Amino acid sequence: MLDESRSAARSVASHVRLPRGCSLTTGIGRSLLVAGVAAVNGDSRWGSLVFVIALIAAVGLQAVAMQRFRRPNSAWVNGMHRLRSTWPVLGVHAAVLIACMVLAVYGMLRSQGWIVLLACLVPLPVTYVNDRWWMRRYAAAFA
Amino acid sequence: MSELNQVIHSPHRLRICSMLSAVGELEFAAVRDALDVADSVVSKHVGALADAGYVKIRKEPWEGRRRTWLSLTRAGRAALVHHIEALQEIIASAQIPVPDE
Repeated sequence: MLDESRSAARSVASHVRLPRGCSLTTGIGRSLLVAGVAAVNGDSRWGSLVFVIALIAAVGLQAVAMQRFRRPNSAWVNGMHRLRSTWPVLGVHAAVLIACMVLAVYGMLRSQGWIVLLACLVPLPVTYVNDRWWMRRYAAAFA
Repeated sequence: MSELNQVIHSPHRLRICSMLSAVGELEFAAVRDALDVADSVVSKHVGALADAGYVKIRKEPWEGRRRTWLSLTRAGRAALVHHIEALQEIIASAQIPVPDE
């Protein structure tokens, strides 16, 4: 019975894959969010509107990424109590996002476009690497 | 000593709970395919688990159809852990006599 229980969990976990474009979709959403925060501090007239649009786009892209994950996997993976990796991963995402926002605002206040651009692009590779690290840990936990 | 959970003890229900413990949410069809049984069999077992408060059922419209998603509740996860601990204790305490030759 214990073996059956383990193999049932393993069979589900072994089919979970990170679909192509999932990390990119999430990453673009986060980049837009960073750009929106920079816009708020750069343009007092339209900045707030740009931020709201960026926020809606980020939430929308996150929803698209979730659907991209759920459709082929027939599963959604979150809240992995036994892995204890959910909070570290979320922490890294949040820390990087906040650091990028601070950097983007700094670049905007200093009128340094390349700093703003850099801050907006950083979430893309970070999301890509972080997602794959988490998936590796997830797969290893049930191997 | 942990006690066996009578709701989870059925082989199909134990497998359903184990599968759900590996993910946040799993589609009904994926559970049915993994168990290789009819929809009605899965419905019956999932219904029993839901009645016990161990499984949450969520229906979602998807491409013109309604898809059912299942997830293990906090109580369900705790019950599964205790049930597995009970099984492990039984195995650990089992003394199989070896006859003298």
